[in-house]
Amino acid sequence: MTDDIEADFTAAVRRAGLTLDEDRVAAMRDAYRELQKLLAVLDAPLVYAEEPAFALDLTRIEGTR
Amino acid sequence: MNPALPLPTIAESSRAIMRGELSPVDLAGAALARAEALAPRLDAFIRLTPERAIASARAADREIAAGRRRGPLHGIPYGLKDIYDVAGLPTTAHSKLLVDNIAENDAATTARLEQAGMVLIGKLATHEFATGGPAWDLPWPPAHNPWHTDHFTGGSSSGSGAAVAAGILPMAMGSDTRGSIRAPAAYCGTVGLKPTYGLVSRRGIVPLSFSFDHAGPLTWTVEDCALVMQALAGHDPLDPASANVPIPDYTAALKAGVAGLRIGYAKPFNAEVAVNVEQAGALDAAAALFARLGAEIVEVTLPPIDRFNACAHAISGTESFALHQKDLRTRPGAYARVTRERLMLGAFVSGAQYVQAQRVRRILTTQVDALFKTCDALMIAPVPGPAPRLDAVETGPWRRQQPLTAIFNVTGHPAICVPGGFAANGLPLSVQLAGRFFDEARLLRIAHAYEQEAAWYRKRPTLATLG
Repeated sequence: MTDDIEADFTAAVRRAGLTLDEDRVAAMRDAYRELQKLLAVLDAPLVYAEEPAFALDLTRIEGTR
Repeated sequence: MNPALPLPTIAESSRAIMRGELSPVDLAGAALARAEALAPRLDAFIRLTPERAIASARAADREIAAGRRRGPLHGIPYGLKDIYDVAGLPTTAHSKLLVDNIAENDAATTARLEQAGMVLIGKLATHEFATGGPAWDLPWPPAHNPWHTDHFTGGSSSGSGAAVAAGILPMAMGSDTRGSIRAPAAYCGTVGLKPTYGLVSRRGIVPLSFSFDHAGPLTWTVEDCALVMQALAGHDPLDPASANVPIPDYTAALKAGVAGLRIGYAKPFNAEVAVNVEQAGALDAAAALFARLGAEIVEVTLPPIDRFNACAHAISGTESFALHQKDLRTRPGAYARVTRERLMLGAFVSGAQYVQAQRVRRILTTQVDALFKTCDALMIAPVPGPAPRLDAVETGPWRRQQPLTAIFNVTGHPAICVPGGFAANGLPLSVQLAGRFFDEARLLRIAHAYEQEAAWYRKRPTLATLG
């Protein structure tokens, strides 16, 4: 594990306000690393027109008309 | 009714009730007796509701005798995964955190089933908050697989799968965020349908992930699934994701067969996700069976599974963390360890990753939907093989084997699991079929054709006949 991942993980836990059991820190750090590895597939460049799924559709909002 | 035998299917019981040969009271009594007899081995139920069940069954008896039969579900027993609200009963989500959570109203789905005259037998085990995995540090033990009680039921609708497979109930409601209806159906050898996103209301069901959660039934047969869907499907203006679409007659074309239909078999997926030889063989055999029935089988390739998994973790994980963040910060020890750790992973997704995942979700949905321009259904492995032993199930924060079923939670297409045979160790195999948006009628028709020809439903777990 690189120092970057270690530091990122520690920061992410702190920023989320979570407290980990001491004996589970290593397992959670490994899971964090696996998660980031998986999420890297989302880094592939996308054109502007590729908007998010479930973008707001005002015709579906009830109670304002 | 002999409680030593599995309960009949909904269709069988319904016909017998209509002819006056079977009483809802006897049926409810048999379900309750069977549930109690098998409880020590299956742990399928969190709570039985015997007084309510007998009262509902008596009311059904009276109405039917008076000529006011409501339809095919009237007087039929059912169960609810314990994330569905029933007014006046606890909804625990199998968690210490909700042990005293008494529901004020029925879930929309509960209300529909009650309106159809069904008889609630009890609330069923789940993985805590419909996530995590089997856990022994909770107020109730995990459910066991009726085909072999040392084995996993799949999750998270674990009690639903166990109760239907054991013949305690002909139908139990589950929920499916990444496969929690279909995995128990596959591992327990039942039918399990995740409907199109928006077809069945989620109101009054403990949420896990707003945009991934689906409500649906587990049954013993496809016909029973169609009968239940007739009651469940429909617009609910109080569920913001509910779709306002016409609801067809799900049984009208059920027996129309598959001749002339085209089924896309995602055969390359088997190698991509390391499906074992027995499960892959079940799918190959299903493809051959469909061809014999007159369907055209074409091989299709799905987008890479890692893209679906990344979307699922980034979106569903974040939505789950948002729901649980306060409790995870202030009383993490109230969760089972596996639940806590898996929910916490949602905190580690950045805002940019979440938005990118939403963009990729749209691309994947479009790509999968394009396959339905030329295919009436897709056939895809639901699980990598038969149910593992309970003590071999991964319970760490990260699963090396991600659920294969999450593809259709990402896209929202309907998907059904149907029994697909048996492994050498006697545990069930399964066939997953997916259909076009809101075209459950065609999906059920295709699943029914396979089920009737393959006839795996004729075999019940040995446990089920012991009573």
